[in-house]
Amino acid sequence: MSEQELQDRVLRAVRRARPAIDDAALSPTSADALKVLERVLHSEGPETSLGNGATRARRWHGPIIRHLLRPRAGAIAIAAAAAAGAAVLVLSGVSGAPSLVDRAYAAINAGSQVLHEVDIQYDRTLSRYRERVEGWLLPDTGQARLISIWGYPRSPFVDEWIITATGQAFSRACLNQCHPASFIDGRSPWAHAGHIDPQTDLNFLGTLPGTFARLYREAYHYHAIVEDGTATFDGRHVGRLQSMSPTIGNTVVFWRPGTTPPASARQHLSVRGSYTLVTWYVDPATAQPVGFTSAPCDGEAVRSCGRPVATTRIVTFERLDPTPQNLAKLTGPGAPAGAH
Amino acid sequence: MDEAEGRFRVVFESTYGTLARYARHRGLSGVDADDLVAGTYEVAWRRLDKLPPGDEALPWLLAVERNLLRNYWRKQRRERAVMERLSPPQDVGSEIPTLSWQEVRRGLDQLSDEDRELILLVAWDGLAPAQAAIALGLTPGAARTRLHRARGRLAQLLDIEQDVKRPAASGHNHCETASTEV
Repeated sequence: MSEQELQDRVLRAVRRARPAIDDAALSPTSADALKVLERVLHSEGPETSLGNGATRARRWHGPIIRHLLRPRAGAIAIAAAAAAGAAVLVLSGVSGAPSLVDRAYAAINAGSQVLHEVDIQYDRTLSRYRERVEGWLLPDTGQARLISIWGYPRSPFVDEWIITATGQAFSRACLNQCHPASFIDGRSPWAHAGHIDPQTDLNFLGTLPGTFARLYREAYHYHAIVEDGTATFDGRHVGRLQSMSPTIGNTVVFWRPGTTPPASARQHLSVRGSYTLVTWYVDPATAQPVGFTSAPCDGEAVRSCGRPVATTRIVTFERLDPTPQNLAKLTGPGAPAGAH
Repeated sequence: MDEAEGRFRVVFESTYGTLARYARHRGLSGVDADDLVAGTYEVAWRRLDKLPPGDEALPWLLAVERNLLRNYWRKQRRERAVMERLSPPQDVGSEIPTLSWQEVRRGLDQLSDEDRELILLVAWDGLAPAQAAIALGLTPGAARTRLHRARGRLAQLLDIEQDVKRPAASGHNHCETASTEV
């Protein structure tokens, strides 16, 4: 037997050990392939213009929206540190009556109570795509636990985060045909995800899920929220507030609409000139959050922003007394050592 | 549909099968596999100006996919379990009756990551050595030499033939024809 024949036999043996695959899954016209194509074409478009600019609008579609408003986890600590001072600000407003911006902040600043929030985000361009984020936050310490279930109904992704009072972050994720209940029961392993440094926004935790409370606290910290009259949201009469943010959620930066983005925002922009208008909706009487939307903008001006792509509705918003049971929700069952 | 999307769709249709197969042959299934493939095409879509034309698009995409997969396994900390997670082959065959597919995979597991990947790209994914070279960031000559040595090493591991000759260090092209026939 020649060496070449021998080696062909080796390769044939390897070939025969190839795992079985359903050929239907390999067709570019299969349902799965078309989903992949849709997702890709709706993701961030080519960096250089090969066409007529139509790709610019597509940057806004698709699951990338999920990351759109995810702040860096450092914001939790920043916002927690800002909380006490902001509370004073609310009580001693310059005009005597606190603004809706301040009242909304006061509504989510639960102090030593556990803030429990469940949000559901809808994507205008993907009819069945959803993200459900459930969060528990203890504003006094910055402790938080977040569970995100996102994707399409038959194939959800699940990830969970715990942030401790000392800034340690832990995460676990299920990326394959997850069953949320069994995942949350503790079958997926935890990993230490790093330490959050509130002095810098250049850490790697930019994909933390964002609840209204966490995002609003962050925008508030940057003095980046302005009132914009009233509106109807989800059939309710609401107060409308606005902020600007970079498109890709890799920074924690917010700024006031109509002002120049801070240097840090420009520095971290993934796509030059690609901004987001975040519109917050709150109950005008109680100032409790109702939801928020994000819309793509072609420039710094609010008038350059289009229709909202992602709409988040708050389905649960409650303050829980700091009982041992409720405090335990900040870590959940099966939390790793060091997360308590 | 603009020019960019038209070009991208052509590439997608001609390469999707190979990228989907690659993901599944490396231990992913279902949503994970689709996620890897989508992630690969998202890079290609974003960097369409870098995507080579013609036959070089496929190995370029595989190089991206491979990098994404390595990051995924690194994150999951289960790289070494890849071979264990693979499903059995469709037809175990009997061309080499003394070798089970489990033995072959155990042999593959003992190769270096680079050598194993090179063999799999050729034997499982149907790439020519020159294409595998692009996917792995090697020169064509280096890929041929490495493939030759890897096959020899695997033959020893599988005990297919005890007296496997040491391959020539010069990297002559005498195995290219054989490998493309696989």
